[in-house]
Amino acid sequence: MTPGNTILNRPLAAPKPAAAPAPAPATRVVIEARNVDFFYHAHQVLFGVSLEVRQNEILALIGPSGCGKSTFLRSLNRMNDLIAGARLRGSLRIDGEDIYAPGSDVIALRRRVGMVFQRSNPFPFSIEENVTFGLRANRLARRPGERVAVVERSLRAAGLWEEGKDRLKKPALALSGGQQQRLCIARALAIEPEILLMDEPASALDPIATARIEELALELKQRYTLVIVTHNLQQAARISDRTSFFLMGRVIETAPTQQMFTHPAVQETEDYITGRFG
Amino acid sequence: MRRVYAALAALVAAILVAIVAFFAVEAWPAIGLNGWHFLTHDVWDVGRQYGNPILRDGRLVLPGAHYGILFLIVGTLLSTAIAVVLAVPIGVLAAIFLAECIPAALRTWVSFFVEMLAAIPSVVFGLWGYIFLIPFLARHVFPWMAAHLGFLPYFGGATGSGYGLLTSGLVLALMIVPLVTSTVRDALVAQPHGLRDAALALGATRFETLRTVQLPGTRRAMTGSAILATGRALGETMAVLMISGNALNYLPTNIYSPISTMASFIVSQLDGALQDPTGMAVRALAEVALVLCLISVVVNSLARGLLYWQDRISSAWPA
Repeated sequence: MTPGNTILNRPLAAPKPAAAPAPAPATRVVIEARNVDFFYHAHQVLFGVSLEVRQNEILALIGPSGCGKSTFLRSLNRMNDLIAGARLRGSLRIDGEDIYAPGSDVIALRRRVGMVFQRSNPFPFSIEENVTFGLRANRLARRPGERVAVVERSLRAAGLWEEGKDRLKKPALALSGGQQQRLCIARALAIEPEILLMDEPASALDPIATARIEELALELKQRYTLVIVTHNLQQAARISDRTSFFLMGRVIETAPTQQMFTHPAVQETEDYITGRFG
Repeated sequence: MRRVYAALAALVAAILVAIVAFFAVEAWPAIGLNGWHFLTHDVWDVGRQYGNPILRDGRLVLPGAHYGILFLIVGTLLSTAIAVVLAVPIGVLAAIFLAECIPAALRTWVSFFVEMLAAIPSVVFGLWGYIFLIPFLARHVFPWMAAHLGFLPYFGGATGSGYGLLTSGLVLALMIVPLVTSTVRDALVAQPHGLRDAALALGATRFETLRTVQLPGTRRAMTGSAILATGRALGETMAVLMISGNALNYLPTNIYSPISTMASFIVSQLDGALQDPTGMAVRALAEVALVLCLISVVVNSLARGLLYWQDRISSAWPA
């Protein structure tokens, strides 16, 4: 262990809701990646990535820029399909089902695997219309009364109900940055996904808004399975149950977060979390 | 530097005002002579060229002179309307195709050809229409349309020589499609990917994403390009002159009828008007130009109003 390690000097427990205990090892595996290679044309960005995500846990993906963690995240709901020349090799299963199997339904996959992006990206519609977008796209909750209920439930779940309930018809773009990001979370929750992917969800937010998103992630864990890409190691330490360290397209180490930040098994992990590079 | 910019901007505005003012002054005696009849009558007659000029309302005019341009207004507006109605949907579809459906490398090439279409001089379009399109339409297309679509209003009846309203509208549409396509394509390509990704990640199909998020985001570009296209079609002179049939004092009875437009009429009548010793015919043509400017301003204002109204609508997705 390196002396003077800043992360180790910090309390590892999450600040607000009681520290999440290590998840019971017997929980069901929801996402299972086996030897995933990923290419943009001839350029390979993921090399034999294998990891699993368990139900109701938060898995943090950390690693330096360009290490492939976002690419991996975006392959979980096949958002990479949009990029010309993107190609995946290996096996990526969600609930046991190969999501890259020929003929597998991308739309249904994205309904089950929600995503929150690095930059909050609310539609230029009203708050309410943002939340109901996924319902309309997927033809869910078609009776007007149902939609009202979904809007309230989703905004409550995203911690935006108190601030938003009187402005449902107001443009979403009038919200603050942190509120917009919580609206994007509410929008993703409205269609009741099983899994929520978060791509550096707080990197563009101030510390207070960041703390709210982190609290929210810990609450959401009760009902959803979360995979969070973050550059912020303290954030990973505060909220995640397990952490995967990516380096140059490979998973170097996946371990319970507390263990990784106190006793990393691999030298590169230690070098990264102690700030020798990255 | 700011002052230089301000002065240049003021100069541009001043030139515009000066041109309109010049036409207003030039046309003033004709405006007084013609009154509202200028807009509501459809007979244009410069009078008896070799008759002695007579005094009417204190102005010297040739005997029998009468200036009414309703047929020009109708011809201009109808041919422009046909062109815009055809060109905007085609242009937008082409833009979607270029922005979304083909690889970026190919997009550059196809876009290049689309934009070359806009660079072709209008007289070339006119000549192509004259040599190829008109005989083709008159022999093969218009008779078929009249026979099979004749139940629609204004689609039946005599199909004529091929010179006329629909031919003008088609050629004008061809000329303005590139304007719409390149503007909307640029707007689609320039859109941040965040909104598109958000919609797709919520389980929207690509078509739904286009319809509900991407295209609404280009509304301003679409309306703007439609304004530009309308302006171009209203003012197009040479191509229309060669294919419209140059109808004089004749209101179209169906979409095959010969027409004239204000812009092409000014060209075709200028030579004759210069023979008028009283000068009133040229003043009346200046009045035509003034009306054309006025129509352009009104169309632009309407389009701007439309933009304002569109901005107040948020979602494109009905419940």
